[in-house]
Amino acid sequence: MLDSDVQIALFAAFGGVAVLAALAAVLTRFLLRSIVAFGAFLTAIAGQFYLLAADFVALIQIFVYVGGVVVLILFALMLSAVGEKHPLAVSEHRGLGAVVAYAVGGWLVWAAFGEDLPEAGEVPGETVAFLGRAFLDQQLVAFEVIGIILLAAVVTALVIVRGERL
Amino acid sequence: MTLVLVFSGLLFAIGTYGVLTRRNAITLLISVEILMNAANLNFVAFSRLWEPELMTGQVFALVGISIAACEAAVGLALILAVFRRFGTTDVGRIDFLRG
Repeated sequence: MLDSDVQIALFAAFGGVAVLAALAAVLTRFLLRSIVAFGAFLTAIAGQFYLLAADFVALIQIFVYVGGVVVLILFALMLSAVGEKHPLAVSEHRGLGAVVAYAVGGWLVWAAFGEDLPEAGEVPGETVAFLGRAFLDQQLVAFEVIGIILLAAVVTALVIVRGERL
Repeated sequence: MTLVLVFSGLLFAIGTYGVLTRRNAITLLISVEILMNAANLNFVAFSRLWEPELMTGQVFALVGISIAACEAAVGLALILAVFRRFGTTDVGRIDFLRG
């Protein structure tokens, strides 16, 4: 999978950053801090993608998520949280949520150790050509469906935001 | 491989906690995005295990990223519409249907 010790150490470092940033994004009571931590989380995940020999996916992660989604969320914050200076309210069922999350995480980590997985195969050095071929050959349906979903999402977002009265 | 699965499991648990406990709609959206990123990490990791030259897992990760972007756009549009109607983004205080 990860070939050398350096790669494993780098992967663990990115993973540590991702886990800490995700925790900060989920636990902080200030919205702006949550968004900034989310940006750091996405960048760390992009680094993990790169180490897993998915350079194009890492690039798209940076472009679409860090460049697009985070900016979109910041815009929503600017338009909606006017005057909200006090910390955000959190649910009163935090204990229950923690128990469920602990169970889910424990089960997933346990399952990660349980299976005998095959050896990792050799990945081509440049993934872009292979991805392009996959998208226009075997995964053509997925490619077309993404196009339709993107169109539908854009139209829906415009209609929802434009509507005079909800 | 196990390292990747452990990290994505941890991130999934963190996202689950966020989805269950946050009450602000924007932080809920961020938690859902954390969940989707954990899933994408698994897709990319498993892409190397079975027929890596077909790139199926990476294609799925790209599809997932696109879906997440759509979801963020529609979700934030909804949040803005709800904010204009109710003046809050706290999902606990939007109780329009309560009898």
